[in-house]
Amino acid sequence: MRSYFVVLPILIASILIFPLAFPDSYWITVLIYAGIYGLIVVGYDLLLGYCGQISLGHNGLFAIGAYATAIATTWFGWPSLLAIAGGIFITCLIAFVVGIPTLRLKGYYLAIATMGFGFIVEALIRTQFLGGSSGISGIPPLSILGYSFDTDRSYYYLVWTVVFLLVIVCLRIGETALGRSMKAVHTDEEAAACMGINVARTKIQAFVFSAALAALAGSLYAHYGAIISPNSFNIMLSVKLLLMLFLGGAGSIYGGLIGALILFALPEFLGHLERLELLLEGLAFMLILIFLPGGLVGGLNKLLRLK
Amino acid sequence: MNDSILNGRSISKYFGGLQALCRVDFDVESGVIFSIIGPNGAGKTTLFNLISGFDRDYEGEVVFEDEKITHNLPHAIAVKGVARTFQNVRLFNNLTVLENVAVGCHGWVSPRYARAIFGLKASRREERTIEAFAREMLAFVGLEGKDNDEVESLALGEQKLLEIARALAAKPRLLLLDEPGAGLNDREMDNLQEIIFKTKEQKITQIIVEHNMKLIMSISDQIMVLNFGTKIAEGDPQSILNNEKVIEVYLGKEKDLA
Repeated sequence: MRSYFVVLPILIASILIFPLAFPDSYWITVLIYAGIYGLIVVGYDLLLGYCGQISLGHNGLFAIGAYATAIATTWFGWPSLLAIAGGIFITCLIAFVVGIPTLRLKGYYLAIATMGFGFIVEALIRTQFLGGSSGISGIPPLSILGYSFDTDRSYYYLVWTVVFLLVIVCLRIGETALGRSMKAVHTDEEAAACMGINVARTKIQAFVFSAALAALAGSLYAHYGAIISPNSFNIMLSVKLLLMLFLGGAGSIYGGLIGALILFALPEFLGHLERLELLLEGLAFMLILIFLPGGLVGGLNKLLRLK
Repeated sequence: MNDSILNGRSISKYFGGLQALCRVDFDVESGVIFSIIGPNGAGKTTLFNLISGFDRDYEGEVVFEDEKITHNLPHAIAVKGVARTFQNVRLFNNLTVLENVAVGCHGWVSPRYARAIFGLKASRREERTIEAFAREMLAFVGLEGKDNDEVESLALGEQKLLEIARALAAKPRLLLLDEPGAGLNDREMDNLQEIIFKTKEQKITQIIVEHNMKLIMSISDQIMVLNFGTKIAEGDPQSILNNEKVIEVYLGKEKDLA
């Protein structure tokens, strides 16, 4: 049996009833952000966990989605859905153009090249033209067909609905021929090519798809916070994505969500020991990779003898 | 137009200053078992790598079914109908046995994102088609019942068969087998021979690089002998056995073996 048959329903049910058990809006906010970052990780897993291609530039893709939405709504007064679609489109386009030369690289060369892309985006959004270090403010709340998601609770349900829908989409992609192609490319590019798999296309598609999810997450982030600034989009975000993914379990699609939830909830439990956050995250990073390379989901699978 | 499925025209390949292949010409007739033999370093695997597009840095021309495939990318050549196995088994260790074979089908199903996301029925049908065909190929090589096994849990002989099943899943018209018999015991060797004959019955042309002379002599329709990148002989097994140049290269070894 596949482990997501067990874990996903539990996760969905918990997310569904959480606001009823903890109506405190502070916690709702924490979980909204966990959902937004979880959304990036879900797409990131197809790229890294399945296809084996690392990216340290997803902070840049997230930023492009967020800034495109912010600009479209505040400067041009576009409606939310159009602004989100525009953000996804432009991010995918940029990912496509950037991906063609960079995805030829392997291993740490790819990591460094994508990191370079992230730096370029960060530098661009720091220019005065895009609001400098204070960013863009006054982004209206997300509204769809006249319904405005302006309360924390409505936004919470919106974000998590999107997250779970996309988890299902990614699981479908991962479980069918596309996912197998990606895994084949991951293990042995040359052997995969000899089976008729277009390796370059497989990588680009995974990169662009994960970019689309990062852009969507960026749009949701911009609409929720009403203000965005460059500090939210630096390289640390990509590093955290890696931690969320490996903590939860790469190659499982939903594992990254668990990683995101833990990573966002953790500082809240630390209270005045907040300064320990980085230390604990670093420790978690090392321990997971040494003792639990499959992450929490991998450990659970072993424990329950699931796939 | 001709009866041959694959033609090599004056193929040369250099590794730096070393000449690995020197103006090799060959024609493989459709439906036959064509073997390439020769001492280590003769250029046999190099030739396979050129045909399958693995290595595109060579001179000369490769024609498959009257279409030039010279310098084409490996996946393009695979999609045209050329499948191969590897001297050192190269399976996908992160996939199960059945999934490995399923990957072989990806050339002819060409999976699409839109189908996976929106076409619930279409993608289910696609998965069923792939699975059924993959099972058929597993049964063809005698690995039925091992569907969900880990690749690494298979014995070397089984892994070699799995590679053949994966290559056959691509529905090739030309199959390149690179030392399929290496590391097999006698029983596995007999099984392999049977599979090669069964594949021939399917009208799939096979080019085989192999060191085991007993196997070569009993299965081949045509044999090409390479030595230091040069073709020194070509013909049916009997004529190869009696060829003086070949005997010289092999120091009379195959007379004992035959």
